[in-house]
Amino acid sequence: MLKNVFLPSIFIVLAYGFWLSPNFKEISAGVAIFLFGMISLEEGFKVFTGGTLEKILRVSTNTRLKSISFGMFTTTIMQSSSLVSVITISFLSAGLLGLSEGIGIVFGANLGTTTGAWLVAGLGLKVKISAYAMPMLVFGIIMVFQKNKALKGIGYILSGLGFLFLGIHYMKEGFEAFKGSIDLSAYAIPGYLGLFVFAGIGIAATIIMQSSHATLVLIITALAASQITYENALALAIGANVGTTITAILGAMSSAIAGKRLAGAHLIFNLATGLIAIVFINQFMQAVDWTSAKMGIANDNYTLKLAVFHTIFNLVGVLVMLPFIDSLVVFLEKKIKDKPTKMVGAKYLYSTSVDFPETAVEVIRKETINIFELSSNILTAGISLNMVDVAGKQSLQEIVQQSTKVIELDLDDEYETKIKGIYSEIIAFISKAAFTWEVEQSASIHWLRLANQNIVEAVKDMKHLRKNMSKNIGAKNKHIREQYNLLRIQIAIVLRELDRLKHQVKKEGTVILSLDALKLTVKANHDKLNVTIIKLLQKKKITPAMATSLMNDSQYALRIATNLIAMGGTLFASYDEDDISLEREVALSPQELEKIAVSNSNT
Amino acid sequence: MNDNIIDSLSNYFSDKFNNKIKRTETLGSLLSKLTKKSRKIKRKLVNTKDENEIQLLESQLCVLKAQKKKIRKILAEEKVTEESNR
Repeated sequence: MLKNVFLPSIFIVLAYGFWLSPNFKEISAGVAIFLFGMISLEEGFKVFTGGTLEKILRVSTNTRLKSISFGMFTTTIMQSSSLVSVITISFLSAGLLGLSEGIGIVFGANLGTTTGAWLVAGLGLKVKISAYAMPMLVFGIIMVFQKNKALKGIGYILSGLGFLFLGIHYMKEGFEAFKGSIDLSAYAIPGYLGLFVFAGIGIAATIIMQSSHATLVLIITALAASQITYENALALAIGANVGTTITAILGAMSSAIAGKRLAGAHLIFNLATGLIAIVFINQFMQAVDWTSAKMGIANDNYTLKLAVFHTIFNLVGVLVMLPFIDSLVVFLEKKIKDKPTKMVGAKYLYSTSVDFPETAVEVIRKETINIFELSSNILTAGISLNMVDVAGKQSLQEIVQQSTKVIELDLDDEYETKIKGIYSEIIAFISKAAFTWEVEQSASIHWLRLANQNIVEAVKDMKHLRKNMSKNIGAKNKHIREQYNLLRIQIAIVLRELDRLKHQVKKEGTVILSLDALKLTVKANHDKLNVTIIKLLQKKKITPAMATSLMNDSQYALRIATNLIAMGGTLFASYDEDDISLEREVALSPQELEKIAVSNSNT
Repeated sequence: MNDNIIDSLSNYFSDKFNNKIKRTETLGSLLSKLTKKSRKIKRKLVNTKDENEIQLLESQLCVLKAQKKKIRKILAEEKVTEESNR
């Protein structure tokens, strides 16, 4: 209800404002152009994320100090703490970053965002920046139309900056003109009431504009035109800082639990910082005066003093909150918990990860491992075994001989409810994530898609194999029972080995090559089984109908094993694409494996 | 202009040369990894009693032998090509 009314109300209020005052129209247009510039800037940076930004993020966030510096540096460069927060949330959702490092980045981003105030207050109001905006827009837009991705990216960044500058120019003009007609400073409220009211206005303005940067620019331009008092501007800046957390909260809504925790940390940090700033406002103002005097800023240069205030209160916030990061992590992990769900759906595929190729590849890999784990349980139940036993150390022969009871399983239902849902989500995610992919990531996605297909095919083949297998596990004919048990062992060997590889990925480093041995074993067992079937038939130990069923089922078992092995090569191989391609080159071809199998059977 | 062409050509060849060195190094390290693994499997084979486990370990030894042979062949072939190019 509220949602439906919100947007039309904003339109009505704005339209009324435009009709009432052309200056208000100019200021609003300035804000709109500024926000459009930010969108354009984000678009430009996304072109360059193609893995590079994520690679940097991975190595620059392994300690707390590094993550704070990283947050500060990237926000300064990109001039958007929102973009940095959203990237951090996507990294957390993908499990590539710990919560405390994530919090470090957010703290740093808060410091980085203060540089915006310095740019606008120090440069934006003194220099006629609209003069720079025009050529930037022209060159930027020409570059946006280029086919080359890098040029396009630079074009977006350039036009984004152009729009930012143009937006600031319009806001400035609007407030200057306002000055002549209405004096907003007459509405200034002194004391703590004023602080809270204006902080509230700052929060609301930032929530509506989705950018603390835009709010801050608006505050600085209004302050420069003496439309608001210095004290109220400080309160507005505090409010903008709190309001900015809404972007992170919105970003976290569609993210994993870790992302929600980070948004929680962001909110707690900014609220605490805001409260500290309001309570100790007089001390802060004294600190600002002292710092400004040391820096040679004139006593009446309120715009630059606002930038000093913004920096000091964020810095104090970081220093105060820094020792509490660990307690904050514990608190958030306790308070924000995963909801238990009955439906099996994707665990890692969140829309926030789509935009960042390396993260996207990582979440698809994790989701494929998830689908493999679910399938392993279905496949082991399909051969009437238990995955815990299969993954254990007991001899598979003993396990199979002891498990003579058929495990009841509706494979169609299992496939529909557990596998198909996640599989569809993975495919939909891949199709959504098709843009600035570098060759390396496209290749990884190709192999991961194949791995998913391998898993699905293995489960589907199990459906066919299970029909006869369930009947023959407890068959009176000892020979047919033994042969079906061999098929069960064959699949169990593959599942056990894949489970081992899953836990030893980093130690081994030659996963693709070690799977050759599994291929050879499966092939040898399959050939041996076919020879045995013929012998049993000749000796009339089994009927021709039994023999044909067994032959068909051994084909299904071979296909299940082959698909699982192929999947294992993709899922558990090294992360380095060069190493993988070299391993694939050295891996034995079917002909080479056949040659070994033949020479082994002769000896 | 000519300088640019020379620069790009020299970059191209130095990249190619560096990639070749990296490839030879990776193949060499892969070979030593496989040799270590063979030794480990041989030791494991002595202590294993499970029939299926033994079969898998024996397959691993056969495959490792063939893979090592393949790597040595690739390395030898690349050395010959390099020398003939000189």
